[in-house]
Amino acid sequence: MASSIFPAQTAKIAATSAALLALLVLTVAIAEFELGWINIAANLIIALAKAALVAWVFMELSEVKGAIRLFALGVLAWIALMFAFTSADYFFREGI
Amino acid sequence: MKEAADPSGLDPYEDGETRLKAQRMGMWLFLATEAMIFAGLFLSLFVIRTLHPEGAAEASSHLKPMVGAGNTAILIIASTLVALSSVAAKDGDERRFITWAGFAGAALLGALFLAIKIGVEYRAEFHEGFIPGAGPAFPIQADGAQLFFNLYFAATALHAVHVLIGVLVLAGAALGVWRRWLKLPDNAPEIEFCGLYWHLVDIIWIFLFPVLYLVG
Repeated sequence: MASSIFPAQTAKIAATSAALLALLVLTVAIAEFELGWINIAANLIIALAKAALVAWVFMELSEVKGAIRLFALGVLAWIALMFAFTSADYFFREGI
Repeated sequence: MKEAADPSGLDPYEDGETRLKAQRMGMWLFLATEAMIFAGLFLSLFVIRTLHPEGAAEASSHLKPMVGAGNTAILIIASTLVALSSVAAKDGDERRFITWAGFAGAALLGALFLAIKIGVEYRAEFHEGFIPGAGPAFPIQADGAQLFFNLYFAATALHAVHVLIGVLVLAGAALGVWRRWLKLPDNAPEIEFCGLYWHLVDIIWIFLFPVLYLVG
């Protein structure tokens, strides 16, 4: 059994690695063009996609359930809250 | 009734499987706290970019995106090796070589990352006067540029410390598997946890790279 799961897992990891490197090339390529806010949005979306690939495949988040996934999503939720409250101040309050 | 994994009665878990679940959850909780540390730095960077868009953009344009991209590729390849090693570790002794060779290769790539970060980037930035309190005077006049560089050094240096710890952890685990101090597949979870730490270091850089080098 050990050897039978080897090729599938290895192929999955290799494909993820290739996708990560392709996304890296894409993010550098997009930065070459002056697109204003689209640059920022594209680079952040690509970074999130890369992080999700690393977490899902390399860190085997796809294999675990329950509390561990909750921790992974929880940290995202806390960080989102922190950014939301801070941006609310900087974008909507006068005199900062 | 399940048999206790630890006959001394000191182990709070009913069996090995439950203990492993708790260990894995503890590792993820630790990684979550690490992510929160860096989130504070990302938030500061976001504020500086909001308050001083021109200064931050001008400061950012003095960084070397191609060097940063190369270093990103190095960390991605290192993470790939670590992922392959963790899978191989679960297969036991027959694929022991892949486990330790993958970790050793990733440790070497991590060392290469640090060599480029310090030897190429920090070195050039020192000579250009970007390092606070050392070298020539800070060359950019725009508001916020100096703040951006201070934060760049705080974030990348904290990340570099994490890479250094990761390199030591991976090298130690590689040595342990090679010398058979760690038994496979019994110690596969320990190998997995070392790998998880490395992947987190990779993820943090995945965000640091565009936010510092590209968003101009």
